Amino acid sequence: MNTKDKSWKILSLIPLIAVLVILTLVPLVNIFYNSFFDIRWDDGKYNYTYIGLENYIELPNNKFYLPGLINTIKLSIFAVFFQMLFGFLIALGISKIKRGKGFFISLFLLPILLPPIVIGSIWRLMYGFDFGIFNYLLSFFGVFPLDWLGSSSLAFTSIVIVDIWHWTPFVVLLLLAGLESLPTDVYEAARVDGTSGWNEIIYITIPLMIPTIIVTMVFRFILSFKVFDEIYLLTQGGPGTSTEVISFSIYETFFESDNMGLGSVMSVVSLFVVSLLIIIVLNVIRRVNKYAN
Amino acid sequence: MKKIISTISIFLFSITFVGEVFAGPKLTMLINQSPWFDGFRKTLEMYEEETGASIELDVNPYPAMSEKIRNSIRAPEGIYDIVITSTEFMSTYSDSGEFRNINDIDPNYKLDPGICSYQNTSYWNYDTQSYDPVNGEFIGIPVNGNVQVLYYRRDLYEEKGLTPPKTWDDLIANAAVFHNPPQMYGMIQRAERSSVTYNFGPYMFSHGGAVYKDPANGDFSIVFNSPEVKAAMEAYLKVRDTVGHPNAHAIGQGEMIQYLRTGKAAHAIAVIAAWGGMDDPNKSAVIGKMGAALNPAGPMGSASSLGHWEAHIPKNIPDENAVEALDFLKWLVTKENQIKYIENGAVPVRCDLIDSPMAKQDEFRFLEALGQNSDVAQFIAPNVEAVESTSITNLYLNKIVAGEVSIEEGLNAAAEELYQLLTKAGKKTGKLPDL
Repeated sequence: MNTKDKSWKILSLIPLIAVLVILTLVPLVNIFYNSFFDIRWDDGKYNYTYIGLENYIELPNNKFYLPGLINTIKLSIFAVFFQMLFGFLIALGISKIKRGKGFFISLFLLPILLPPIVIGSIWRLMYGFDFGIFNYLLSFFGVFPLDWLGSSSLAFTSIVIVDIWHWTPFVVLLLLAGLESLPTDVYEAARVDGTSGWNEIIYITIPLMIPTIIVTMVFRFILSFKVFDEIYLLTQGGPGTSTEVISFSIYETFFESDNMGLGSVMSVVSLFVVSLLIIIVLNVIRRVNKYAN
Repeated sequence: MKKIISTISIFLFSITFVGEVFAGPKLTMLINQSPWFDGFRKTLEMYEEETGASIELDVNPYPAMSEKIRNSIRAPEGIYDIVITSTEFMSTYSDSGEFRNINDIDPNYKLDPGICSYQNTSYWNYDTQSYDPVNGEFIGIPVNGNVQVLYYRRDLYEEKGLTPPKTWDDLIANAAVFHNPPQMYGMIQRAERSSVTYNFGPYMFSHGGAVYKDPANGDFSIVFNSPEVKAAMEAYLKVRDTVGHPNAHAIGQGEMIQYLRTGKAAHAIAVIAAWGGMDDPNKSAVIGKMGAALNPAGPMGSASSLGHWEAHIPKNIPDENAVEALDFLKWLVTKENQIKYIENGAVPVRCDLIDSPMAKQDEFRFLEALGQNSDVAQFIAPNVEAVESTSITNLYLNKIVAGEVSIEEGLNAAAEELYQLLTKAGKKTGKLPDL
């Protein structure tokens, strides 16, 4: 590669790097910087008072953040597990369809196409104690109405159900793309050898799909930490803190309480926790793969 | 030729004339989407027609309001010429120093005595950080007189020969007559985490309880874990357990209105702004059947909690716009235009309309209850830290109603956190011993 080519490559990367720096790195550095200050609006300007680690020390005592963090991790684990399971089964089903595949794909994509406000309204109505369709259906079986969003023990599960419904199509879409790009000659060879459909899935499809499954799972895991709409529209974090999540705590702290210092600490810690969990998940997957091979 | 010249002359004259009528600046006002919004919009259209002024409304859902106000009033040039604040964040923004003193725009303007005082929330004292009609600056004009009133099914009351309840025990007795869940609930309470403190207000104040000891005089000692507040919460739960909805802790304003309009609630303490749809055939199954009354009394009499809105004119807009904005607000609160305001379905801010002939009309039967409750309405959190303090009280009250903690545990924990918050804010504060 001559010097001119090399310079051109570097030059052509500059716009991308600039966008990345301006939109990602600068805000991150800014949030990290803010986390060491008490920031108040006074006399027509923001006044920054350096308080060291005080915001970090205060964080564990925050009545919303810690329960929110635990709930977010729980929600990510449960929701992503079921999304991967259902997503894979649905994708597998669709991939076998010969006619009308487009129709089924469009049908399954509907939940991710709907605006969050519509999703919130639909589910809030369905979960309604007296007016909701779920309790109406349960009444035919003589079951006493369930307090879907009001019970501290059930509200979290109700949110997980909505999240699974909302995001399974995303998993379907990615896994379907993976399934459709698998080499057909392997299947043909297996069929010649008389392999059953079940064995085909276990010994051919799943191993070949592992890279796609991992990428999809990591994607969903990261995105699940951003859950906000369902909580905001259905429970506002309640009852108590049973459905509190970190996005909602950060939103309330930044935009409702106007506490930029504490909000920044919450953001920094959340980023750290998510990164840590992603590293752990990827490591576990790598070890499992290594062991399986 | 003559015809052409005269046509052109008329055309040019029309342009000049129209140009003169719309000579003032085009204003922008920030407002929230709410049950009273349509009434406000219709009244504004009347103003525009009458004066030729032009005010564009930026309509937002309630949760977006605070952030939009903050961004606009802190910018070098404000987007909004008029912003409105609810009691939840009114004190925070009143103390921001970003609102104009109304008397700097018009030195002679005073609020008419017929306008409800709402515990003097139009006047902010920057030194004591409290509402103060004597030493405070005149920074707001009320535009919506939302308070909570007792809704009851007057058709069922007439059928059973009952009269509106005077006390909480009366309420329980009356509600018990109709309580037949799930067909009908005797009483609906709104104890969802985002709004339970507001709904609890009438119970708390009527029992002599409060969040702060004497905020009007700068004493922010925490009295939220007093025996009075405990007694109020016991009354709240007694209503829930005997004639209420078991799911109260998950019911918000939307659901409460839904229960009222579908005829599934015999009573509710709800904002008067919800009245708008009660007699609307497109929205309600209880047309003409709803009545409104003074909230039931506790040991300290009846009480309500303030939920009104004040309009403010920010400092960071041109002077010309500020004058125009004040002209509209002055027009809006006159007695004559407040009558139009009511007819359009909005919530008036004048307490002197109770005695008007209008209040005797069946269509406006809520006016008497509105006036009575406005007179006894109190501000739950009239402090600069109101957003944070309300999130604390909301959380623990919701936990109590949901049965996650006992009354004593919840009130003590809330009082401790409020104390920490106010201490950190440098307020004169203190706290009671644990319950």
